Amino acid sequence: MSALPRSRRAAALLAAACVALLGGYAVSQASLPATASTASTASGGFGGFGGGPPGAAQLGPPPSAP
Amino acid sequence: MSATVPAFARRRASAAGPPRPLALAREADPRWVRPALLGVMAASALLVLWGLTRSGYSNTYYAAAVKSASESWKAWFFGSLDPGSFITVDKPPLAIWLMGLSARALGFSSFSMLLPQALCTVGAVGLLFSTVRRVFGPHAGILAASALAITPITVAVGRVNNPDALLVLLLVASAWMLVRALESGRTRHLVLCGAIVGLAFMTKMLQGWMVVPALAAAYAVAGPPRLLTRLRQLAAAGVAMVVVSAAWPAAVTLWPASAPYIGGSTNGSVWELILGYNGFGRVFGENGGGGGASFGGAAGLWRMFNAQVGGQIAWLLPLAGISLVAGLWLTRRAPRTDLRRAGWILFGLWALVHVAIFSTQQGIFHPYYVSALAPAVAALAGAGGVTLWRWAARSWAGLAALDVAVLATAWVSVALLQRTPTFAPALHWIIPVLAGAAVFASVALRVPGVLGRRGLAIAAVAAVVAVGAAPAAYSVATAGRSLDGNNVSAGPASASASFGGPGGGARPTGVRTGGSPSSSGAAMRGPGGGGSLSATTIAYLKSHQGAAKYLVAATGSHTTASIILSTGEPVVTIGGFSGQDPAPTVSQLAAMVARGELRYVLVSGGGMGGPGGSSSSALTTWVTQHGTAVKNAGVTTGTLYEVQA
Repeated sequence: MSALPRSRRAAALLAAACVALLGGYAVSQASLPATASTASTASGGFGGFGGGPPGAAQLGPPPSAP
Repeated sequence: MSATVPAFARRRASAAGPPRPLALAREADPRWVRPALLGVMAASALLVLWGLTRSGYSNTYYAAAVKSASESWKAWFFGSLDPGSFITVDKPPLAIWLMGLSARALGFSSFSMLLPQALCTVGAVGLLFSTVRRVFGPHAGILAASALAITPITVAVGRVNNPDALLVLLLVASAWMLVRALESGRTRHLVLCGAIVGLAFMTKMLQGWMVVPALAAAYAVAGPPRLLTRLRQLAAAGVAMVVVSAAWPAAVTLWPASAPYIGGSTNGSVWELILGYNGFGRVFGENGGGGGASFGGAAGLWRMFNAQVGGQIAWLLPLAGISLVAGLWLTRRAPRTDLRRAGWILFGLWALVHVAIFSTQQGIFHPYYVSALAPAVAALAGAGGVTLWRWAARSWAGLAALDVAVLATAWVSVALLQRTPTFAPALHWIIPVLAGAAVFASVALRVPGVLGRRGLAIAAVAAVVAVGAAPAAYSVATAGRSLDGNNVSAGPASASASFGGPGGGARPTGVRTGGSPSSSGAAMRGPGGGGSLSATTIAYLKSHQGAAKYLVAATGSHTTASIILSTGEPVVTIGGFSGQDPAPTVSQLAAMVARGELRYVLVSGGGMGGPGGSSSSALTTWVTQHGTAVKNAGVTTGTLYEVQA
């Protein structure tokens, strides 16, 4: 790869800086859609068999095997 | 060398020189490779072994089976839940065999039970290095091994007693052997590959076969011999796989004496367990599969990124996906037998098949199942990092692909971290800054004289930290807390709390620790704290057991596992894990009582629990009709009956 003229190098650096700033900003704003509805389903479905008081035998089966 | 060895194999062997060492560096590797590998494996060992017993018995269902395996060889062979082998756990026994042997060698404890899984994980990291290095070189091998070591769900399954850590090791081993076959063209290597997949089947049934399309396609495309020979070799490997897979089920079927009921099945048949409950029932939601919205969230295109699964595996998926596309593109004109393209096919199909099945699975789907996906993602990420870097050095398109991969992966990292805002808040700005720095400095790859070698070093380090910091932090958090083997979840405690852990936070403490569970009078509780018997009741049962084989009968392993763990006595677990298996029937229960094998049955306030319906009602009716309530045994909930036929 041959050396680029100084002006081309400066342009490349400027372009890289712009992409880096935009990219970094986009990363900092990242968020994934919340899945609250399924989360609460999972919690509710599973929470049943763990919430029993000590000594509460046979409150019913856990909902799923490993 | 034998004259029967094909010419291509002789050429490859003569070019390769003496047989290669299994995992450590080749002579041709740079000096840094061996210490780097040892460093990665040491880090992996630290992550899975540090405070290993902090999860206690982890999944008490499997822990009871391990204790039983340490006391009875019959229970060891069948993977029985109790040492009397009334019923088995719902998985084939290979992982129980390892843990049982460890418990026999070191004495049963939390440490001796969990140690094999931890070692399997470290072994998988080392073997993945060897596999990826053979195909993509040492840089890619180190990156892939590092990626697997810091994948949160890999750390999590390495610290509990579920069979998944062994499954991961066997899947990586099958890929390693497949690469050996690609190098040599020998049938022997392919048959061994099939046998290893058979062992994976013996670990988790049909999930062990999910890697088969990737293995077969890679060899069918890139195996050295001509097509017909390749197909014959693949058929031989398939036979080996089926024979090893079927060995244990066949032995169970042909067992001449009384065999335990096969837990998880609807009729006691191991074949029904394979095809139904642990097979297609998981995919289509039948045979107790339940709704897909449990545990792993709703099935769908983005399940791998949802609140339950995302933090386990999704961190490196963007890098892996972009790498796969780039790798296949760059090798599109390579010769048919090109090893790198074979590697992209192998790890790419492995990942795609697992993502497709996990994402669409309608039946029971736990987030920790994705541990089987982790080696493929790690291999693609490691190989992709090196491939994209080299492509970027010679092409603007390559530079764009590299930068997009870094930014997309960092983006997913920050998005996943947003779900646990109080965990490592500094990473929320460190990762964007480093991702930006990596993109900026990467211009040095294409523009000579700009930033110099220092710029390249900055780009490389910033990129690695930007994509690896978040999963590494999640893994450290995983190693630092107690894990519930019933629904293993990696990451900080706040990640589990955000989508509801087992029991909704009523998790027992101080009971499921290493060594024997407390017998201080505190109630013993099983998974999630659902079932329990007081120490007073246990003492009563032991003092009145007499010649009976079984200490007591009770419904579901959430009640009986803790009894088995604390006493080591045979216990009839009515209905198996969930209490839903149709065992025993009324006549079987009556026969056990008539033979003097069973004197006590625990009935809850609501009956026998279990599946409900006629069978449990019939059991309850029979017990109440043929039993006398015991008043002074310290039972606080439900009723203990002394029964007579």
